[in-house]
Amino acid sequence: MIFNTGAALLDAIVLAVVSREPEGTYGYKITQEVRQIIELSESTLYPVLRRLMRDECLEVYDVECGGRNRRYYKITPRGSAQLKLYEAEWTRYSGKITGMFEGGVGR
Amino acid sequence: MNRMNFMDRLAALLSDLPEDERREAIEYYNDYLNDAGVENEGEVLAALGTPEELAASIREGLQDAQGQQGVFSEDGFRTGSRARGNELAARPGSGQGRGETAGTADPRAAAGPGNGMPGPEERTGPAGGTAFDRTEGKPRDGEAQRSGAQEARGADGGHSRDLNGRYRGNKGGKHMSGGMIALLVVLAVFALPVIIAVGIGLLTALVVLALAAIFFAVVFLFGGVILICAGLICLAASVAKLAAFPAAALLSMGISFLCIGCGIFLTLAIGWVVTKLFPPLFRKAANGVRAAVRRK
Repeated sequence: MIFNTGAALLDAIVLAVVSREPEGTYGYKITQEVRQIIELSESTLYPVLRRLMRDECLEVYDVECGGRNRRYYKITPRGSAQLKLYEAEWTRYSGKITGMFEGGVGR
Repeated sequence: MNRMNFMDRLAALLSDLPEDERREAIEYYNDYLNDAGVENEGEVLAALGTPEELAASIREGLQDAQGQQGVFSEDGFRTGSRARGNELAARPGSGQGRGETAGTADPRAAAGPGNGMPGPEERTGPAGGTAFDRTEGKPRDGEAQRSGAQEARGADGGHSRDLNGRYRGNKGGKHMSGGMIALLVVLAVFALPVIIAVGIGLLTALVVLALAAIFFAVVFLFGGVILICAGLICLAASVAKLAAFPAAALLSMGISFLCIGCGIFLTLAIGWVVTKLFPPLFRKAANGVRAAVRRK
């Protein structure tokens, strides 16, 4: 990818991926889904998930699965609000860029 | 390194972290490997890098609380020790529906500068990145737009500036500054005559080489044909002389055969070179020239 993905955009993508699963989803699956969108090393998402948890945008719970516990991540109301903000911001921002590419600078 | 060694090493490397942080990270990667499945285990372990690298990424994630961020670029994700821009993520008092209103954005605008460590790149060059700021759509010219954007920051504040600051922050380390780009452009302009001269020189050299190759091919082909013809004539002559001077005739017959053989070999070799070797070479040269022209 040519364009940098800043931490905010990465947060937004992760929140969007997690929010698609009302019951929550787990680390490996999140990683694979995010990797379908942007290039990402396998070890990138742990710090991101950690941060989103700390900011109370995500909550975790353990689910018994095949004799072991699997940690699930689920979006919180605060996370949803944050995602909404990101989405609005992205629409505005990308709209401006697209508008500029298509010829109407600053209009 | 197998999974067990990997995880043991990782645990050892993280041993100075708080107990819950360490357990959390270890569990996460244990889960991760379990979910990847036994058949992908080797691949995932390789993708995770060495335990040292992984431990470093976990640590950096923890320091993130004090303001660090990674950057994506063409070659994947990179964690840098740059300070984060002010956090877009939820701050107290920044609830839902604060898209456009100034009032709800203010707490964050206020919280921004005081939040964690102020990034070194973050607030430098006040007008540098204002192109992305909201200017309420009024077309203005350079200076006016700048100050307008700054005013707009104060008024409708928060998130546009946030993103902006962060985007600029990202550019800082890996990418060139405006000055650097300008310098390169100036350099390129000055270097243009040289580049053109070199380009023409290379093109000429290519053409000359191609002409020489064709010339040699023709010469060798003619040489081969001539050798064959001479050999055949010589052979005929020696057959005619066979009765009169048997020894000399045999000798010249041998020479004729040698001639014919060499001629056939030369012709075939040239044929092979022309049909098999030249087309790809020419194609490559043409592609090279095309690429060079396109780059300009």
